[in-house]
Amino acid sequence: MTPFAWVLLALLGFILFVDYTRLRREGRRLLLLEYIVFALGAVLIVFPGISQMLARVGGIGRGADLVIYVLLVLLVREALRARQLQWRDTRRYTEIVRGIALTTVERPVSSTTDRSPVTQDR
Amino acid sequence: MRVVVLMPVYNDPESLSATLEAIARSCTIHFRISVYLVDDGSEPPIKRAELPPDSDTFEITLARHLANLGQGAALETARRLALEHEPPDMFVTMDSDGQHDPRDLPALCSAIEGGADVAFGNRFAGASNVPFLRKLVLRLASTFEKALTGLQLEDAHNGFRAFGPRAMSLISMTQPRMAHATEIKQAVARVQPPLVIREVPVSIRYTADSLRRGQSSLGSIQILVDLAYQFLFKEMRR
Repeated sequence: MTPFAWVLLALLGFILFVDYTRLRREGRRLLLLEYIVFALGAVLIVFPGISQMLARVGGIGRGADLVIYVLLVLLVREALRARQLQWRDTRRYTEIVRGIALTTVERPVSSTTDRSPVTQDR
Repeated sequence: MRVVVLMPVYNDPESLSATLEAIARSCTIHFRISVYLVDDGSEPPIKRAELPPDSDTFEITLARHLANLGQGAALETARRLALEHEPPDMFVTMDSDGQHDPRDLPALCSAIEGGADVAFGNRFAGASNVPFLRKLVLRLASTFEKALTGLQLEDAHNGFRAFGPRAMSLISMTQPRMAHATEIKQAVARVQPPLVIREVPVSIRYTADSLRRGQSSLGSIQILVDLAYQFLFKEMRR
């Protein structure tokens, strides 16, 4: 194993330890998924020939390229999904804040406007 | 004739008071004005006692967002609040920071009285001191919006507009930030039978302070991003 592979393994171990302390009570499923993904990553770090072999089978050439392509696709997918959820949550948040605003209105002291609601498209 | 003014405000009580006083002074000769003011999370909150008093021809309804959501969200809150009541003869949207001149309000309202459903303010036809970069960005935005909506408007993002009751009831805004201006045009362009649209000369006052506080020209990039997300995600369930 190269020195960089040792550094990567140490980094994986550190991240797993930190996440274990944070997630062991409320995020055990997430932690399990992280263990599985990181274990696969560790196997590829310790045995780089495996990714090399898979890349050759897929016609990519280098094992590192295979890993990068897969990660890139997953990252783009995750970024879009995160944006989608943020977009939806922003709208929900807006409706909540608006709902509170509409129930705490300061109306004119001697308003002449009719208070009856109208059934128009909103 | 009763006119409803929809006005968002965020963190500028001095300019707000001056704008409301100018409306009360110059517009109540022609109209009965009801202002629907939405404080979009100002810190400290806008106080009703610091605003001009109500009179027979001028009244203010104040709603507060507990957090800052953006101008589009505040306008939509004001719109919904105004539609809870008997529809007025017309609606006007305008900024509270003093850039829009209340003396232009009668001209916008005249366009609605004259048969238009929507009257967009046009700063390029009025006495506006538009900075060069802003002019360039607005021209590009106008071309972009023509491609998007088919509407040929000279001024792409002018917040000074007037709507007839039918148009206002049909145009809801989901974009919380500045992209609502494009969203309004998209909604206007979709209505069948088509709405009657006019552009009316208005003056916009640019000062160093208003440019510092207001939207920067780079904000147009954020508008494009917001529109792209809307296009991608709009079918998503709430």
